[in-house]
Amino acid sequence: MVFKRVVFLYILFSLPIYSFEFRKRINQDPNIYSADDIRAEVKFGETMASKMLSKYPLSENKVWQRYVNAIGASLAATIGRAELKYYFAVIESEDKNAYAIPGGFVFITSSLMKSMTNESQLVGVIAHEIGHINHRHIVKKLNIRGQDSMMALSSSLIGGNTQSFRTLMKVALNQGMKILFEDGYGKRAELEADATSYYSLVNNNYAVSEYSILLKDLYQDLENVKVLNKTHPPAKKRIHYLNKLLRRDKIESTFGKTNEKRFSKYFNSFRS
Amino acid sequence: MKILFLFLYSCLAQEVYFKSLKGKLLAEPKPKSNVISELKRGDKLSLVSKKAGWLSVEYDGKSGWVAKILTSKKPPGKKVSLLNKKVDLSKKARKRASNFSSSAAARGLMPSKEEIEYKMQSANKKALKKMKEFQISEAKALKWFLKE
Repeated sequence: MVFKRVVFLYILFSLPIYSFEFRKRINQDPNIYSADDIRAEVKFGETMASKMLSKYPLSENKVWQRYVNAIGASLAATIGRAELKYYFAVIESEDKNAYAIPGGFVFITSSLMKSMTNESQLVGVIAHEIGHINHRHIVKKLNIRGQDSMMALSSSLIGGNTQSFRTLMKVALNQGMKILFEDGYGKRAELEADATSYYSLVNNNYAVSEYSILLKDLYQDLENVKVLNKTHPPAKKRIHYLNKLLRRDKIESTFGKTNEKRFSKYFNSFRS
Repeated sequence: MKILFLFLYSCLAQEVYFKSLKGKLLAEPKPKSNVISELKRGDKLSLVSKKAGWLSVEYDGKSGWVAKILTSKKPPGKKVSLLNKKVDLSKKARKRASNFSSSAAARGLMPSKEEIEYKMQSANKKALKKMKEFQISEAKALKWFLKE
């Protein structure tokens, strides 16, 4: 009898929760993305990536591109969004930085590549950028949606004529570039992406400490600090966060491989 | 009564999906723990409990742990391609000019069609094509990655 009452009360109180969930879905939950939304993200990302490539040329070093693509595709296969095709490239730039563009486009600058000393650091950097794409940091900031969505950027902001659309596309692209080079994704988003690096490194038995060393080195370069501080939290905060995760999971600071041998094989070709 | 109980249990049981191309169901929440079973992309896992960065799950009648980063709440989707469907973000846009476009035009801030066209064309499509050609198959890359 008591059990029957418990079951009855459970059903009675759980029904409003389920109905609320249903209502949320039909009203377009901001966290639900349709195939059309994803296609819009890819289309926007392609345009933004080609703009990026008009600003920074691709590195001519084929070995470099092959290595970054091999590591990138492996990480995309494990932690990436299955519906996206990921593309990776090394671009020529004096800034030591890496960039993630919606739709699966990841760029690493030649100067950042030269700062690395092992594979663990490269894995950390690429996983960080995949983290930004996984969390849809730019997509959410700019509200990029497909044509079927009630929340589409196009339907919520512009009129139907082509010129208005082009204007909006231009504004959105400029805003996207401003996020990459001036405003950044925000400190919380950067730590979220660092968490993706942490879990990728730990799950593949790589040394998290090496990623921390790279972060420390990047922020010690006074010229580069100006660039990084505009868009990222201070190194101290990022390293502190990684150490906190290591302590929580009881992982020793010496844990993990660096794959220096494989790294050297690919890197010697362009260091000389 | 049993049927009702099973129905309620199935309603409550949360499911997650393995999104990594391949991976392992582990005995403990540690990367180097013993392997209970091999997993592949799309495998449905019943969630038992959560621990920082890890999920305790049931799969194929076996209990074990998977790294949370390798799972997703929704089934992994197929690769999205722009080849088969034309994406037109403006198709369903409102038919009247928005506040944004009309006020911009009134103030003379709206760039001309030619100007916008020029900016759009300044995108380096050739380099993008080259970047896409660098792409390596995920399965092939993962095999190479796990070799070391």
